[in-house]
Amino acid sequence: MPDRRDEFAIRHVASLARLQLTKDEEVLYAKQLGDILAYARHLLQFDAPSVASTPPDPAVPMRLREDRVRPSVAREVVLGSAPDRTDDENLFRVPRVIG
Amino acid sequence: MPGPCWTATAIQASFVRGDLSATDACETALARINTIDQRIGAFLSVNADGARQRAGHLDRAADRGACGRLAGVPLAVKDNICTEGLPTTAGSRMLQGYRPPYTATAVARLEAAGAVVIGKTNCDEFAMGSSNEHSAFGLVRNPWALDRTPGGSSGGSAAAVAAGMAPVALGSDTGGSVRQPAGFCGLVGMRPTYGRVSRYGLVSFASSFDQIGPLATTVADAALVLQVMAGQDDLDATTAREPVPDWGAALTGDIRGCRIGVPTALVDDGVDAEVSSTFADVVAVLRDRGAIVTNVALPHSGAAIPVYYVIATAEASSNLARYDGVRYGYRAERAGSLRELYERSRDEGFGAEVKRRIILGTFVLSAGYYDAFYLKAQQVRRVITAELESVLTRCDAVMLPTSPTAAFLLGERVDDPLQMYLADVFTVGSSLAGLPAISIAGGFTGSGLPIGVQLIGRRFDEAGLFRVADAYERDTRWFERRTPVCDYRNDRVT
Repeated sequence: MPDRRDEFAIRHVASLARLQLTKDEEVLYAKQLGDILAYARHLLQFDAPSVASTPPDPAVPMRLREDRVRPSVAREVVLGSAPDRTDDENLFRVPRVIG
Repeated sequence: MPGPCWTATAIQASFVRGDLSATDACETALARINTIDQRIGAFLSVNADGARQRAGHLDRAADRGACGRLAGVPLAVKDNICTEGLPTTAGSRMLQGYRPPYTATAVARLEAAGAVVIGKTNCDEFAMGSSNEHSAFGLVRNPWALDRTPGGSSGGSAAAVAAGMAPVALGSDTGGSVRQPAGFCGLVGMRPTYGRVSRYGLVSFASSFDQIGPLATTVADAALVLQVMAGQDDLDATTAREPVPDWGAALTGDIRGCRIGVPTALVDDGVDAEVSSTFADVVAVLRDRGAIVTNVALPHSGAAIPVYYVIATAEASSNLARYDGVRYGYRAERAGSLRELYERSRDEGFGAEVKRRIILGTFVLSAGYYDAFYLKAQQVRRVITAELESVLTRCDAVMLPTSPTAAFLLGERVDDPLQMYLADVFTVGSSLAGLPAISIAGGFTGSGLPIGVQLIGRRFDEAGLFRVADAYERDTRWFERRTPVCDYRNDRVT
């Protein structure tokens, strides 16, 4: 099932998912996902236009909580989990985006 | 030999009577982890200091009776459930070293009732897997046979309880990740109704399926743990305001007139012979107790696997987009641009199964394939849900094997993801429908491997499932069997 076109598709989908795959991974995933999708093609035979294509309605309607101020995790604690942050300001640091 | 007294129910009762200290219960668990777990690999981190401190605090309480329904009970927690200050990796390199700044509601409620978190258990990465071989931190061995998988994704939690390292544990169930390991390890594992237990603090995989559930040796313990953590939570809008009944009161042993439906066509197809014969034995025991077992039809259940793997991976691809190497978790070094930072952090931080599912989920949501796969899967999900709910208007429960086979060999399926997915054939249906389901020990193979049997119930009728499961347990008492790794002769608690 996998061919050069599938490998290209894998690269495209991986790019959409922000995954940088090695060549070996592309070949492996093309084959494995080809097998899985061949199996999932059973679904294409299902024909029931009257059935809604949205997730099942929740059994119990969701209700929003009361809108009131409550303590949240402190900024310093959140920044404490960051792989990199600025020394003098409370900011996450990322590679340069502009210029 | 530890008898049924190494249960949450018995530990709490002994603690309240003054026969057992929380410290002794805690030290017993820690000693067992110390001697057994190097052969099993159930724990990713052990909370020895924190657990001892907490146990000491409970022992100093003026009124032990007021310490809660789980006072002094050691608890193992799957490592995809957040515990403030304790490592929470979800079995992924992406979260190696991560210590969350908050605790999941389910764990907080159990701790408030006196439970003592002794450690975090191994699992398939981000709960994606059925064998626990997809953890970035090594596999887990089944205490019943060390060359076999304990199941997954809550394999560490199941192995910890089966080996007697913890009396009870928490797992999470998306497509069967509590029930299948419970079945493979001879335990009780409950997936509650969707909305019964708060998902706040559970690392998200597929949000319309994920539920936290208990793993225990007895039905009474599973009911007790679920009772304590269930109920509406302001921090999870999908939790139900449905009252939480006293499930202990449901354990009467009386199942006369209880109607149990068996989808014979599904059960007869591709199931291992020993699983079939055990299943027939369970039917016979339930009939002897007065249950009415009838044949039912679930004609669309054959589509449950593709529907589940399309929708769950779609949700996973969205949920896991948050791991970008910026705010927390793994970051690749020396990335030259933001895009490269994202791509390399994700490629290096995620394991193979997670990447496979992210790619599949991204594909079924992409232009040109969304209608064919994702929308179609949502339609069939509705049909499968309606079918199960219709059967459950005529029956009190639907009974199936938990898995088509007993625990398979480590390495047997790890290179063939489709074969691994197909093993979930009996568990994904109730996940799609959001219905409660329980796996119980139904018996053993000739070579001594546990075989799980599963009951699916009506929405919010966990009581009905606990009642049937308990009635079966009274007649069979499989929980008295011990795994070969258990040797507790020198324990302070036996």
